[in-house]
Amino acid sequence: MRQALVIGVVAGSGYGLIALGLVLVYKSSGIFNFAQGEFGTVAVFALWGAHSAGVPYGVAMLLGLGAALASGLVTERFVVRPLFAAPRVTLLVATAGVSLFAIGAELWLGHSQLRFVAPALGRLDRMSVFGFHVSDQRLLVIATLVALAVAGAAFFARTNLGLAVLGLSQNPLATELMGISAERLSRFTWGTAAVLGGLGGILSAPLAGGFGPGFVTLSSLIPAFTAAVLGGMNSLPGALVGGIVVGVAESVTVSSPLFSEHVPGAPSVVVFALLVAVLTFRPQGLLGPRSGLTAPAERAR
Amino acid sequence: MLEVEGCTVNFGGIRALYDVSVAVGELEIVGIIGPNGAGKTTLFDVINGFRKPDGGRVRFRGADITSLPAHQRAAAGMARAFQNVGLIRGATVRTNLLAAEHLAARYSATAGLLGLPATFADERRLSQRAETLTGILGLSGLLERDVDGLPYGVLKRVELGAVLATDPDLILLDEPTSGLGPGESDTFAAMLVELRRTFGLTILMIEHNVPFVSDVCDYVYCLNFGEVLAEGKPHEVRNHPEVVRAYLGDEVDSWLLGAEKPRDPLVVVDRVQVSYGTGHHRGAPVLRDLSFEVLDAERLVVLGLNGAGKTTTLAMLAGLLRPERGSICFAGQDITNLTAAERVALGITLVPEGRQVFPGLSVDHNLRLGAWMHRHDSRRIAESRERVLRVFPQLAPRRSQLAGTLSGGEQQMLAIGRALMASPRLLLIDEASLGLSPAITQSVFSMIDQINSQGVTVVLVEQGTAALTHADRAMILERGQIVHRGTGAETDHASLRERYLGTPA
Amino acid sequence: MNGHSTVGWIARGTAVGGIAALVLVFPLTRSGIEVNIFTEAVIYAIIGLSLNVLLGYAGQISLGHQAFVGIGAFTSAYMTSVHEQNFVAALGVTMVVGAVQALLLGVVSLRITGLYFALVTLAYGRMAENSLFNITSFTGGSTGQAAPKPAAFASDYRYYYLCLAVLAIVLFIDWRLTSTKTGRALLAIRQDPRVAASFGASLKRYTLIAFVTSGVFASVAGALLAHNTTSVVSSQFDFRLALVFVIMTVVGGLRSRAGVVVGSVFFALTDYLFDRLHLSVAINAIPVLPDLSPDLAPLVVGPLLLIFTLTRHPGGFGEMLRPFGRWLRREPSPHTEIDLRDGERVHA
Repeated sequence: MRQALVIGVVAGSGYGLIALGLVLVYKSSGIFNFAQGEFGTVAVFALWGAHSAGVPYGVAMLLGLGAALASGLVTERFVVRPLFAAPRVTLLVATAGVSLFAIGAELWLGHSQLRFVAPALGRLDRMSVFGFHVSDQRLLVIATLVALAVAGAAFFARTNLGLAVLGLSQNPLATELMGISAERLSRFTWGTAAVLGGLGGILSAPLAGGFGPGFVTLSSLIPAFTAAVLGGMNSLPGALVGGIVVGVAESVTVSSPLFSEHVPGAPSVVVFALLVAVLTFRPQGLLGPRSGLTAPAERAR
Repeated sequence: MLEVEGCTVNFGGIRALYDVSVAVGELEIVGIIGPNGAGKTTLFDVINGFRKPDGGRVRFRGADITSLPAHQRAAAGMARAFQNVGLIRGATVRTNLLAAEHLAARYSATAGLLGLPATFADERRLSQRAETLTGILGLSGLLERDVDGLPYGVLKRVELGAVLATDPDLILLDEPTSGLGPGESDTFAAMLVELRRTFGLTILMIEHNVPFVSDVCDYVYCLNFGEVLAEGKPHEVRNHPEVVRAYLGDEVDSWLLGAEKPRDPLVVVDRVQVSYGTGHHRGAPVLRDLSFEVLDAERLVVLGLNGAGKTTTLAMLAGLLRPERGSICFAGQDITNLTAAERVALGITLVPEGRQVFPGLSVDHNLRLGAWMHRHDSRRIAESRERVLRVFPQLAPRRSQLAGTLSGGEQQMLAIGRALMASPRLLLIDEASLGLSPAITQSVFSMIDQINSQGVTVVLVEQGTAALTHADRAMILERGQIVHRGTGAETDHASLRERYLGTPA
Repeated sequence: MNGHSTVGWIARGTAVGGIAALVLVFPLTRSGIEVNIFTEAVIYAIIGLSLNVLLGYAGQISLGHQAFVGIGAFTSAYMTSVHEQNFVAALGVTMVVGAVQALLLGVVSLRITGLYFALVTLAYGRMAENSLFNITSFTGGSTGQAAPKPAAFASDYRYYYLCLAVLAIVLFIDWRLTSTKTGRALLAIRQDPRVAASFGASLKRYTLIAFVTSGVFASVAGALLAHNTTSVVSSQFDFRLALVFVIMTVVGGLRSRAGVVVGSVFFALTDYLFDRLHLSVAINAIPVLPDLSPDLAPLVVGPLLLIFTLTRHPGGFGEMLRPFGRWLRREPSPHTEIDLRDGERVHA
């Protein structure tokens, strides 16, 4: 059981990293970005490709992040910007289409075989918690998540750009009247979210024992969304906490014989139940304010 | 027929309605008037079932319907027309009318799906009923037209058709004459009386057009700040001193005379026409052939009732709306096609209606965003902030407070302060007094005077007279055109009263 | 073109005849395996129509529609092979199961709306794929469940006509849905719920009706799908399929029956057409790109069409087909001018 907790925290940090990007996009524009997972997968493919071709790991990581950034900017330019004033549901469908395209492209260019990418940090038994060996890579994931959540909170609270992003989500009219360009903010937001997604993919892939097309989306997107919802969809630290909760819930389910023997695919059931429960009983998330959802202002239509 | 007793509605700490009681007798035409923000539409929402009151009851034909869901009230015989035309966009007139006849269909939904023979006959019957209705309203031949492309006046008539198609006993009309010209209002009044006779209707309406209400209504209620201010026969109500004060503000004895020295025009608006929407969603023009000037360093007040085009005028000056015709010049430069952001850079800032602060950000952060144009110049930002806090000292102790938790007056000050952070040359303020008590309103206007004395040109949009003592010149808008302009002294209480309420003093 | 001329009539007759020949006669000239593919296309059309009821008419976004289809497939397979019921009885049970499942989801949609509901449907789809469809006793686990064709329609050709007949019934019901008060209520609810309420339409009731209709159509399609391939396995119903369904409905054109049918058929046949028209060879000839196998074509082409549709051409195929449909029915094109005299009778 205790091992399950540790495993859960580690897996949950991976979800949390992806959830950070989801919350960033939602906080700034009210969009549920279904392509977030594929920003990660693209980064992993780039990392693997470069590393296999002999490029040093660090540089390969940067190339991976670059690939993620590029996909984010392309998505913003050709999908998000034209649909800027469209209902959020349309954008959801559009980003889902982007993720499908990415998966198709990965299958086409990369074929469906499973591949392995080496971790950034090699040592496998840095720590031992409750008998479970926590590798350097796992610690790196957790540390990155915490650092980014903190940096993100600071970004929104202190920098002009962060304030502008928040302002845009709270009151688009007033933002326009301050002379702030919604377009530039949009580019910035998507680029950053894509890099966050890429980082999540690159750090988690070595731990997964293998990756293929659609890797991040298929393994983590729905848990990451659930994590973001648990965090109220509006809070970066909330996404962190939400990720851990989802991770732990899944791993506890897997480790309990009652569930895993009688209920096939128990983790999916648990995640689904968690999602419905939060949305029904506490839609503002675990850390949200008392009264109801805090959604970014709807675009006038 | 309809009784509202002691109705109270609060949302988020704002008291929208307080202990409001209204009674409408069978076959009466009753009007509800009151200045902007008085709670009239909220009252309709309660009557209609879109909002549950926090206190009080609603009775329809003696039965308590306070908890009845909206669609069941429609079944009970209550129909509503909406402020922004309650029709299904993107559908034809025929579809709209058939949809409105929803309750008149005699078949069940399942029977409809399976295509049982009786449903075809019933659909034909509903179609014929719709055709008869269009005949009565003078809309024949429009049945296959898309609702989107129709002119505004016709649209309102189609909506009336939809309302009548639900076979109601009571109809609620929300600002039925808005957007109609004077001739059209008279025709509409005659039609209402005729419809009442033909269909046996009881009518309750919200209106801003007080002369129209006096013509047509049997009884009138005036609301202000969520309470019933006065009620009675139309001519009693419109001469009631409280009502006059609610619409116009206080009678003022002395006016600040405009500065003696001649000024150059800062803004020249030339023959501008603005409509909402684009392509075939374009509505009737809101501003027609409008021309005026704003002089340098003056205080100009733009008056007018709701729907006159005041907000549209400011939106056009600020760059949120582009005119289809005409031009705008600022300090000698043609700015007609500049975006809002570009105009901010030139020194034009707008404080929109309803404050529009960033509710989740602190006062300080709100101000900081206001200085976006100079965000890299921290010294300038600090100077601007000092200036703003000197004009609005109440904000100083609240610098870390979330803007959404400030009082109405404080939010208004913050909104103006935020606009000041951009060091504007022209400051446009839309209905600063809305929802504020007279005392706070005067205090806000005094602060605006201070700003003006530092050389900032100010254009204020207001409904009542509250700003007139702080103005050099005033302009009254009606239906998108200027019907009066002059100095603050020339625009007196009596003439405003005649314009708004249609009564001589 | 004057609708009443002889030339007009002949042209229309030829057009209708041509389509009828393509749909009814052409398959007889192909092999049984190819006919299976055509049958699948017909079934996809039914699925597209079912999703159109939710997405197009009711405005509810469902990213887990593969679960609706899958439930139908497995129920029918289960009833025919494990319980050895006949095809019609199995179909009856399938419809009930499909209705109930859709109703449950519909009730959830009343409480959790919009984007969040989309998320819930996505999670539901994943749960169905990983969990529900892996219950060994029901679905045969990873080896799948057998689903033999009904005796009367055992040949591929006959089965094709059976599916066509079902499509015709679905189209009829869909037509009646949009032509009666249910369709109008949904239209009002989707565009402006306040207006719908003031017309007396209950949001709860009609939303649930839409869900149940969609669920029944989808589960019937699932049953037909299972028997078409004579076996069904859980891995068929994954997230990618859900997206393909949404894409084909949107690209087909929401709320356009003809568009949705054409769009769905197009997506079902993409790999077949790709192969037939030797497009894969054309792409393989481009030196830099690796070989594109036909079964990947929908995944690559689909999203591109989706983005194009959403950003440039929201009406999809349906909008493109509209002038053609008007011509067939001899309807005049809509007027563009209006003569209005203030206060007097209005003439178009």
